[in-house]
Amino acid sequence: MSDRVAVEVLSVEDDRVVASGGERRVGSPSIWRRFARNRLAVAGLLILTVLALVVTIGPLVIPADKVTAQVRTATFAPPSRDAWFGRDEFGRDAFVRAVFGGRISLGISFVAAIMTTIIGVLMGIVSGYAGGAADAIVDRFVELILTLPFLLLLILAAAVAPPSATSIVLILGLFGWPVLARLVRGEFVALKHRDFIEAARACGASDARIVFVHILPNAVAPIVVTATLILATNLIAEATISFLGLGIHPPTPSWGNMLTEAQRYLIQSPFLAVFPGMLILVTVLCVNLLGDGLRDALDPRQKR
Amino acid sequence: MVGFIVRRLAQGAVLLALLSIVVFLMVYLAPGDAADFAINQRATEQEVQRFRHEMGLDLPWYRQYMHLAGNWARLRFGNSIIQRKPVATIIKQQLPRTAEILALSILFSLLLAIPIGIISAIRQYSLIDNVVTVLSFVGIAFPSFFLALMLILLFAVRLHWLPTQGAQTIGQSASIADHLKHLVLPVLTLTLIRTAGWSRYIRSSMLEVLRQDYIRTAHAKGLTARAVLARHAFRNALMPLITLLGLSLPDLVAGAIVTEQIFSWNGLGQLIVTSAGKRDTPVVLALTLMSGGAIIIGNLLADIGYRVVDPRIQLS
Repeated sequence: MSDRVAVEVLSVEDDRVVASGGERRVGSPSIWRRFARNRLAVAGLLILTVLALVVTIGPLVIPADKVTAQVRTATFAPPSRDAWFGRDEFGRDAFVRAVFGGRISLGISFVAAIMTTIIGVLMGIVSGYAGGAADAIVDRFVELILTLPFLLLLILAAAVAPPSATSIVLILGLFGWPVLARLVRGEFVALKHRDFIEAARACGASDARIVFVHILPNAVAPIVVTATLILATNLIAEATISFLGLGIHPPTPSWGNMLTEAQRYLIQSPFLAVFPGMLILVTVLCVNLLGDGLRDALDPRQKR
Repeated sequence: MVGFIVRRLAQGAVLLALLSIVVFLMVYLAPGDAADFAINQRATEQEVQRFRHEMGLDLPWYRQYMHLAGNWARLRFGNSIIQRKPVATIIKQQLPRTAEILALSILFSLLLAIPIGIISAIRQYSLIDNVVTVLSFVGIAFPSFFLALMLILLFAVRLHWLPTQGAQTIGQSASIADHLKHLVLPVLTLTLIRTAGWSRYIRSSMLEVLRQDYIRTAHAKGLTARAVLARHAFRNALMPLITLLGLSLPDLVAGAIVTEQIFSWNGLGQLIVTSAGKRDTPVVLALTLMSGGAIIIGNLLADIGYRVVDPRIQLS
């Protein structure tokens, strides 16, 4: 017997069956509980939260001039109580730079990921649900953008755009949505012919209502998972662009451009490379673990 | 099948044409132009202007584009504004260098990822599988430039085994052994990251296959585990490799941009970054079209490969 229900009318009374109907299996353990069983994913989430807190609160607590303050007598100092990550070639505190740089790197990646998700989902809805001419147009765009390797597109755009955080956010946001749009389109095309949607339509639901109340909640799982992938991609992309000198320019720190400088002084001070690099690695790793955990928790067909 | 290929190529050609316009406009609309970067810093404003005029950079954008497109249609790829050399020559020089590290990394990745993925799947949840899974997760998350720096730190700085830059040691005459030494680190960087991703892919493909009924039937028929694997499982599990390989084709052009930067490897990746930065439109367009073409052909090959391996698949 199928657990699926289509309830357009019975919206409020039953607290088990939500008004959105669809694929939610009544009676399976809640999503959070399934997520919590995946210890790696939980660890990833925790570490990410800690990182996010540090880079948000850090800049509020640490005076901004410490980012560029040079201590010429202590260049390349190893980590000490004074400077937790050591000092760079200008004697600047590498930890402070990492914190402020983290705010920039994480901030850019996060905002761009949100932008990409919103645009991608909307485009996917237009192309998947509306179909026809709209689908054709959107799909052309998608194909066009996907014809070039992502990094190449970013490099071209970043090389010609004014170097600023806003440009990078826009570039990442504008070139990242096609993948998501394709995915959303696929979900919508698959779902819009289902019986429960027909039922909703028969009950007189408007298109908007069908899309947002009925189809979208059932497509949320792959969207969320892809969104985390996009976040991870953005993190690496921003770091790469900044590393190549096309993104955030020094003296403003970013985890990527800290590595550019570190490369030059690799022999004098390896930590300059280790710390920012590890931060990027750990962050991306946690995002990936989180995404994996979400995918397992949200997949309605899981047997475990 | 032929009709499918022709249609895809035609669509691809249209896409490339559109792409060329978009990329051209991107470079055109950027602040500054090639004249600013091509001439010596101490040149006067007049000299810069004269150069600009000579190169036709002061023409309206559509005229410049038509000029480029017209040449392209006749397979004349023009000259690099910055380097004053024919674009084709430059690319012919630098493509092999990129291609060699990419091809080697793809080869080694195949050699590593296939056994790793398969063993991991066969012994799912064992220690080996867990180690492999952890390593591949980490490998996917590793930014390539960080990995490269760590490898340099270990092998070149600490151990002094390998050189850090370039393709040949300056001053020495070119020898294969020397070149090989220079190849190790870049290829190692690319291979490790690619293997991490591919081994996960192969592992999940193998797991998928092992769950199938026909595998169970083979066991039930009395085939040894080895025979089941060799005759049925491997073949089916390795099918997705065709996609992976097809999709790796564009990497031959733009797959090692960052690695080349780190190792001062004079290949196409470096070329793209510098040309874009210096607004060298003919070179940028040439590389973009090569890249786009590689993706289109790569996708096409992947799709054809699917059909060849699994005749049930219908090509749209």
